[in-house]
Amino acid sequence: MSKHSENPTRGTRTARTAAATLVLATTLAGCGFVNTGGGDGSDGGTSGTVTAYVNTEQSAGLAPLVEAFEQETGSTVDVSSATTDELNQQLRVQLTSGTAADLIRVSPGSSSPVAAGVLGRADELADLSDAGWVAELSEDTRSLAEVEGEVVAFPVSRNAIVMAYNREVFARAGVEVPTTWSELLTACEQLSAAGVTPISTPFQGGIYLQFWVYALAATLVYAENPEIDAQMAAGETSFVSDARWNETFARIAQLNDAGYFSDGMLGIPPDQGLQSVATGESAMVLLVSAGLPQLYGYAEGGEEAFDVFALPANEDASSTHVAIAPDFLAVNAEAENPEGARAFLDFLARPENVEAYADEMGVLPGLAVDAELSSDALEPIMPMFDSGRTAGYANYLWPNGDVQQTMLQSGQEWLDGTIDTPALLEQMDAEYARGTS
Amino acid sequence: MTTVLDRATASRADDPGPRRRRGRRAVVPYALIVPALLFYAVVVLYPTVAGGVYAFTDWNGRRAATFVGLDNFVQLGTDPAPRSALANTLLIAVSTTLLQTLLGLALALALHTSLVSRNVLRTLFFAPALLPPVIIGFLWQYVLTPSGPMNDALSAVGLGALTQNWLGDPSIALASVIGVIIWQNAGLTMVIYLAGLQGVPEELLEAAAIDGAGRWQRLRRVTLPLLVPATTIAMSLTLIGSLKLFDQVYVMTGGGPGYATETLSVVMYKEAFVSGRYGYSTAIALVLTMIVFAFAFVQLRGLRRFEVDA
Amino acid sequence: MSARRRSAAQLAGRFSAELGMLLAALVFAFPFYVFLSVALKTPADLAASPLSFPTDPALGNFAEAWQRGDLGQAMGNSVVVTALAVALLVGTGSIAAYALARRASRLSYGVYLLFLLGLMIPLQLGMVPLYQLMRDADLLQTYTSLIIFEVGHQLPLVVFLYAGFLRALPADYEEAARVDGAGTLRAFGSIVFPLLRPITGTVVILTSINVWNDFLTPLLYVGGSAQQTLPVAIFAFRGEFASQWQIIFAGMGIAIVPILLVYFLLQKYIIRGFASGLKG
Repeated sequence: MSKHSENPTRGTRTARTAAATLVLATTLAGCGFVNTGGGDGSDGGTSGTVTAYVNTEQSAGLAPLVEAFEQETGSTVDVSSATTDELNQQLRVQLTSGTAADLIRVSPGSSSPVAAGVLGRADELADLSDAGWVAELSEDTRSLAEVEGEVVAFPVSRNAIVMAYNREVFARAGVEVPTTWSELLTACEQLSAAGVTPISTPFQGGIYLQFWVYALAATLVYAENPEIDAQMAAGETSFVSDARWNETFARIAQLNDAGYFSDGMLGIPPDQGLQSVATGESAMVLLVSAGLPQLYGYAEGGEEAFDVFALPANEDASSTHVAIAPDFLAVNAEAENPEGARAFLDFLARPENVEAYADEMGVLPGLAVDAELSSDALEPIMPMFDSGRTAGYANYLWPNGDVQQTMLQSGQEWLDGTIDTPALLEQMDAEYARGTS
Repeated sequence: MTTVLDRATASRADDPGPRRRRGRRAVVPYALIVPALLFYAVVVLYPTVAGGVYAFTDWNGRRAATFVGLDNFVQLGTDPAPRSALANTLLIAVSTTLLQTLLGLALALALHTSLVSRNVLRTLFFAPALLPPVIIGFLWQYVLTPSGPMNDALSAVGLGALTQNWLGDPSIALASVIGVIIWQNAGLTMVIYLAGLQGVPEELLEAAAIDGAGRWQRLRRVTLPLLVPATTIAMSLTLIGSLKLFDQVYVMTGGGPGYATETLSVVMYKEAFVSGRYGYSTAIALVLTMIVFAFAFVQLRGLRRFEVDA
Repeated sequence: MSARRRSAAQLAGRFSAELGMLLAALVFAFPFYVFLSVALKTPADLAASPLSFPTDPALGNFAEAWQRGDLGQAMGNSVVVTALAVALLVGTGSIAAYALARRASRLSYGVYLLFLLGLMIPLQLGMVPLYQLMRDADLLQTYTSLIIFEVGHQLPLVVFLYAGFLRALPADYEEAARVDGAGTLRAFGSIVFPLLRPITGTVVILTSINVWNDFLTPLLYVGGSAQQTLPVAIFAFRGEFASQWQIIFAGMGIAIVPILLVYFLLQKYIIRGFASGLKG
């Protein structure tokens, strides 16, 4: 026991030091210990502060506009941000607990527990139908922003799913931009023969897998049968019994079986998948347009090294549709400062601001206003955009986020050959049924 | 765990234990427990009970909860995700507990000697246990990508045949996760064993050596029996930790590819915060709690008997 | 076997043991090497060869991570939360364990078991009710909410460690003090607490690590606010710099320095603390 019987005053000193640290720390950081009623939205709307909780990308695009708005109106917009996953998880808890911000980022349709459709049906979002910008909603956006006849979400921008390719790799292999499915197969064959991986498929986590389903479904399912969601909801058809859905998955399987996808794709994270296209190890990658700046960042030549095209899905080039997705902001039904939040949305809806945001982020304008984009990154798909050959992401009108979750997780097993296509579709149907019951 | 303490108290029969002197001394007031109990009640006891109730409802975080009896538990038996998560969780718990204990013991025995490098090595082996699990997850996710440092290093030293798609191949992803967990926590087990080894009297080992016991026999007959308390603590901490494993898996694989590395904690989290099914998620949490209790109980029983025999 | 031959064999054995351990250590340290070399590379360097040591260490990565991630603020937050939570844990935990260890009644054993339950209950079970409790107390996005949470959450471990140690500690000194007329608290403060130093060292290290590294609850309570702690900031960072591994790793490097420091300062206690805990 000798080692325990040390000088007792040492312990007292430790205690005293601890107490001193405590006092010091309390004094130094006093404001962080209690909510003083400012800046966190708990102040009952006494000031002109609007709180906002958005995802990281929106935060970057909104920053200059927030500044302009604050200058013009003299009010404050207090923006917090998080990655989309993190935001979705926290927002659910915050809404349940009544601690959510005035303006919140919501997913389109019913694709997550914090999607516009889900929250709108539960009356957790304010009705924005009387706003001036409602007239400028495009048809596909409106169907996702509207719940039970009320517009509950504002599209900050729209994203498209595009195939980005490395120009030099295509040129070296003598490959033309494919406009039909068989041209795509030929291109892959040529690229494969030239010793490059035709298509980079960073399917770790499954995020990039879903783009394939949505892009192909835009042409194969939605262009052919716009009523598919209503029919599925009514139980008239299902994934496994619908020939078009089967074809969508069969196309992905065809490319996979032919070996045109990356080796070890289930272990490749997105950033490495993009990198391999930039270095020329792979020729192309299917991604959302918001990911283009990241891709450009990996190449010495930047934007010039790449171009995009719409993923063809059949033999009729003129029927190719592009899958697009609005990125929404909504006003919390229990907002502390609903007027301020609406005023900020009206500000964002001005044509010059719609344009500024789209330019800043390299995305498509959210509203159908006359916007002149300075970037021509998406030029190749603009004709489809202008002629209305677009469709929303397939998952948006599925009853909940779980169908998608199952598609991604079981989809990995499917790619790996553990389960076959009917089994995958049946699992998705089971989740779908669970969501509608 | 409690049994260790009881036993330890009982074994010090020659020591003036607290029980004996109860009559004579002034009583330490129970009031001293109050501050700790207050924190504990607010943070753990109340929320656990309040949350546990949701397991029997269909609460989704929005509308009022309705009582659904045991529906959630029935559902649990039929869903594929929780079922593979249950199997994975048990596999992770059993294999990390065994392997980590063995590795920790081996490291401790090696570093209890007079190796020149022992202090540096002790620090090194313990270092991963200091890192935030989130950072461990990011780090290994990077190290284990198909064209990442692990495969590069294997190729560089001529072991190119061993390269793997560590986290992307469903048949080995779980083994990779287990490897990472052991890498992270073996140092903690080692430290516990090093502490235990300090309690092995040198004289006893010398006496055994004089009696003609070889190294292996001394280890088996003298050292290991004396290390049973350390083993109990090390194994209990590892077991409980690995049953509740979340951060590393969530960051490294998110439960994938497919359902290959799904654990109960990850499913629980996804059900609550991705799907918004709190009631169901809570039911999974309750099942996990039962499993932890059962394991802790069985393990303590087993180890206690082992010590009596020894 | 002659003495000389035996010692030669011993020497060879020692040498191979030493070599074997160094080899094991190399394998073990490999991820750390990756960590450091990535954090010190320029993007071009990283793309060229992920494995080689950086030719020209890019210390700028650390500066960039520090500034762009606002890690200074986050580190300050982590220090405040960790220091206060650990101080409270040592204070409330040691004194509670003292009462539990010195009262050999059924009640005290029951309370002790109740604390131990906390080691086994998964956090997720009470996550939402606790969050709502913090909301009702208007403590979200404050240090206070995190400190209260961490203290309650870590107490089972602390009580477990202190109680084990105290049971092995003879009550003679404190009783002598009390015979001399010192009150319970005085006796505890001046006699018992100093005797607890080795286990206090262990408690401080283990709880500092746990509190400093905690992620899920801080994310929920203070994520996105000015009070967010380092792991939360690093996680957000990962989302923001998805592609820039060198910056992410540099940021993570910054996040672990303080905890390594605490460890180096207190490391002699950790084995000693466990040793005494095992004895008792």
